[in-house]
Amino acid sequence: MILEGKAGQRNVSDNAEDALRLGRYGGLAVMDAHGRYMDAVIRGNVFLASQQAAAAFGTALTLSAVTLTLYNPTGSGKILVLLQTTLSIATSTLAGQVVYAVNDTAGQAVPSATTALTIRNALLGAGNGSVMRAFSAATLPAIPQAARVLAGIISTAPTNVHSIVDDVAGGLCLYPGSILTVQGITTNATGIIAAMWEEVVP
Amino acid sequence: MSKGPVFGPNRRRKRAVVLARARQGIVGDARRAPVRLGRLCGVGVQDVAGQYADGALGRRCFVTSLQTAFNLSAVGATTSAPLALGNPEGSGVIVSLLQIGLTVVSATTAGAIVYVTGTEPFPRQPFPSLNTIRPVLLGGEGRPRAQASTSFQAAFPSILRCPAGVISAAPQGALLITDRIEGGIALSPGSWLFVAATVGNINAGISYLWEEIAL
Repeated sequence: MILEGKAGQRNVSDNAEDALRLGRYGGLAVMDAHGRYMDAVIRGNVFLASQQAAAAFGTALTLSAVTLTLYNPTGSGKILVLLQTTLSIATSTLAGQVVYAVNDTAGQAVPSATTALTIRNALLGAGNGSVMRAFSAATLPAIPQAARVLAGIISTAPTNVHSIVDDVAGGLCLYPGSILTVQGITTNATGIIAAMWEEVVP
Repeated sequence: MSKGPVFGPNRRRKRAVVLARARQGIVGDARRAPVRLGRLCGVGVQDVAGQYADGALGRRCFVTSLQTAFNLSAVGATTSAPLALGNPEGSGVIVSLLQIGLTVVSATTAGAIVYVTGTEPFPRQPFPSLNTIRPVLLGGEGRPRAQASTSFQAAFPSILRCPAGVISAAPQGALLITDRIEGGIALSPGSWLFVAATVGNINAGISYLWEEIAL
């Protein structure tokens, strides 16, 4: 059976059936039914965590994490799919970068000396609890390694208003036992980082 | 015995591989044609309309905006909302946030712009404190269930997201910040969200775009 459609604009009333629409060059015409993450949020599978105050990202990758750290506990039964992060930098006098740094060695130790952050369901006021852990401070099992860049600070005296919304869209996922944190390299920037993720059964 | 379709509980489902065709070429309006495949066998797709057009035409999308920039309240014991978006209890909808627009007009202290929420229920607001909500289909008949309040206050709300920052006490330049939340945050009935800051001297314009989904 070959899937056919019909080219051209048509208006369809509720409950009416009609042929799939094709574009002028035969592509299947599509449109968003809702916001990209709406379905996962309404199902209660998306979560948010944020630092509640600015902290220093550090000048080098370190096992003493003092910014947002996400941990998928061993045995959680779920994978953390990172969707978006937001970063606001408050101060910096050294150029450098802020990166996602990870600890993903099988069998590694769990984070210790932790300070927990509240995890909220993205369907505010309702929804499931998270099986992940979020920290504003933690001692990692080893010095983490950079896995993805998040922000560059290009001057020793930056003066701008900025918006850093990283649409990770699943480009980083945490398997049970893995840890992700956000740290600085060279820069002495301070700021707030927040994350949004989906929890899925592998 | 008939080979026609079998209906009822004993119906056998027919299975078929659906095919499409790799090709290029123009399909005239009202002509039927196979759906297009790309060279790597993916289905060729294209947007039929703007991202939020279906929600707009379905009278589900709404906007509200400050009419002039306001000082963002510093998160603390009493945190005032220049413009809060709330989903009143009993609304019958979920408010799915699509975009928040921010325009920083002035700042005399460096800090972060944040979205906050809390556990206080969002009451149905009295009339004088309401900010106008418009359907995205301007002039259309959409009836929002959400409310936008210019007098809402919260005690020690918590930070959800930090979409922007001011890195200097005297920032320069012009910038529109469009935070594409894309439904990643939703308000169930009784919950709320607003824009605040970690410091008290950031002056900004704010607008919200959302879709209301029936429960």
